[in-house]
Amino acid sequence: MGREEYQAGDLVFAILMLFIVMALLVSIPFETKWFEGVPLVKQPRLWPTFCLVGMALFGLLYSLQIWRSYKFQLGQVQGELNELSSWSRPLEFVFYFVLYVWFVPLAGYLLSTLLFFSLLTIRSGYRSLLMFWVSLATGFGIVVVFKSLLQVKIPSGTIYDFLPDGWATFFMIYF
Amino acid sequence: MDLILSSFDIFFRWDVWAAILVGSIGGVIIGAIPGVGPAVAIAILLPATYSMEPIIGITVLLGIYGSAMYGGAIPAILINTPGTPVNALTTYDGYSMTKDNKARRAITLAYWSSFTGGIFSIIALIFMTSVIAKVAPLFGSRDILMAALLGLVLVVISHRKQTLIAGMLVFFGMFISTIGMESVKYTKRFTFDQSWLLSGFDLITVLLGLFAVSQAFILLIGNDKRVSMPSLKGKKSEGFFDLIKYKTVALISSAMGVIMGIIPGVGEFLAQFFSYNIARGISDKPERFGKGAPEGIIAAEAANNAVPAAAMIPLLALGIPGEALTAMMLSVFYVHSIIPGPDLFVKHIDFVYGLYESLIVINIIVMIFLLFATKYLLKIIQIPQRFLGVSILGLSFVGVYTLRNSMIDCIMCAVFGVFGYALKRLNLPIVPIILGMVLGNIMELKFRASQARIDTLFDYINRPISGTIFAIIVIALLIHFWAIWRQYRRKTN
Repeated sequence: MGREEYQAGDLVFAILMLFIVMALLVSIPFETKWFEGVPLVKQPRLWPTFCLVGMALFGLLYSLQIWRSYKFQLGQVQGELNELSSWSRPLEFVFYFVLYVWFVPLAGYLLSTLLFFSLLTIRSGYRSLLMFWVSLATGFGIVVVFKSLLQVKIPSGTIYDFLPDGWATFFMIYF
Repeated sequence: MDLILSSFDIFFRWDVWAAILVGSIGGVIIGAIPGVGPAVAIAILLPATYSMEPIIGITVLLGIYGSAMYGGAIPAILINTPGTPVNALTTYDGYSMTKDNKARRAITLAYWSSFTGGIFSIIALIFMTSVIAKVAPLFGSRDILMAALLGLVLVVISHRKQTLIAGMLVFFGMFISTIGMESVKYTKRFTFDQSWLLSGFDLITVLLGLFAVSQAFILLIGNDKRVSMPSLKGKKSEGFFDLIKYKTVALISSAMGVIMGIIPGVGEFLAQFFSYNIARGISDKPERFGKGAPEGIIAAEAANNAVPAAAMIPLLALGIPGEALTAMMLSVFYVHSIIPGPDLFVKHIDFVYGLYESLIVINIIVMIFLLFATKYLLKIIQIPQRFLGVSILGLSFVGVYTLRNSMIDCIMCAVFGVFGYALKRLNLPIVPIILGMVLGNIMELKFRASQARIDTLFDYINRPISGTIFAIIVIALLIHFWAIWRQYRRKTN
């Protein structure tokens, strides 16, 4: 639930959040409107300002708390930087995810999902034929449950236009 | 009685039963897989439930919510890894019992305790509903504003030792909810001239990013753990007799779960924490706690399973979610234009009873399923972690893309996923962001709606209900600061 100890990354996180809050606070006059003659409580600017001030206040106190437990040693500075770089590790998977999203309207949900599951399974280090088939079966199962049975709103792929008429309609509706 | 009978019309529909089965069994399976949890599953399924009738959608989600903790006890007891975060306390005594070759006894005890907590809370709620139906219509804008404020205050102070960061994240969530076109003067707020920001951040996009996508990243980047399952020896009835022996602990813990569940922003963690301490306090052998005490399992499991049904009360009666999972369910109501709040208990009381009946059946089905299917669930626990990550990422796509087929939504979801990943690595809480987002929006609406009757600040609290809630807020804050002061004094002495 809670923790008392300082952890590598705490300081850099606190500084980043404070930096974002300060930038947002400065942009309040440009990003919100103020109406002359309208009482303060009815101004559209009031609520976001209240949230940002609250965020800044808690953020400042949190930063002070971290600062007090921070010891300026080479190891701790290195730890902060290592943690910061570790936050970029998911970016590779973000790229695959966005690629998948981009690919669905082109290749259709079924083919994109099968490719996504099988390639990401291989990327995750699984090389056995069994895992390859498991990944394909999982991808197929997800498509069947969500698109074929629950009929969720996913556009059909452009690729289906190249199928014979009957097949094209079938794939557009169910896959 | 007439109301209960009329609710049977809803309850005995085949599609409601299908939803109960899918939700309850699906919830157990999801709960049993460490690293998934009900929040991830509900976030993914949420958009799919939008096309269902509210009773069906809510039943599926409630099934997952109510049964995941049953399943979460299995890996907590057998391999010392809680299936859901709230099963963490079960590992203390559960895993100790497994090491003493009492795995079957510990598991069946966890099931029966969970069942007791679940059923106790639903029965309590059915009796309380008539009271709530009378009180709920008395809630005005100022009362709901204060109740939402209470929820936010409690969610901040319940994050012991992380109060400051929880406070900052609550305000962050509140700020996110203000982005976009505001609905009174129709002005843009923090859109930075980007058209895609005009409609603001969708709750589902943020939820999926923070809960599901971030979890997928954690699993994909981590390593697979090889787990060896202990064998389950002994009789299925052993746990039941333990429960009978320690029935007082079960009842106290269930009651604690109900009380904590009703209070917004508190939830399972504090419920089981208090129950565990009470159980240790009244035990003849408190030294056994943490080393395989059956009362420890009973306290943790009965308390956390009593919470889901109780957490529905502030949601249904006031439209105020107490934690992230009920915040997700709130969106299902809004999509179907059924606005939870005082009117629900007047106009749709049969719907509310239908939900309670579904909850009872969910608990019974889960119990029967677990007593006979535990050995099969042990296989599911062994699914490789990184492959789970692949599956969660693939499923997250369904969740976010089906909202409005938007690439921007998916990118935002991924961005929140990276943010959630950083928070999880730092062991910082995510729930305050979600509650800040949901309750912040409610607070702004009610704040504006109440202006017609406000002349001075005192007018916010001069109604009996808002005054009482304000007093609770003050008392909660005083207790919190007193605890900090006491801790500070202990350190300096």
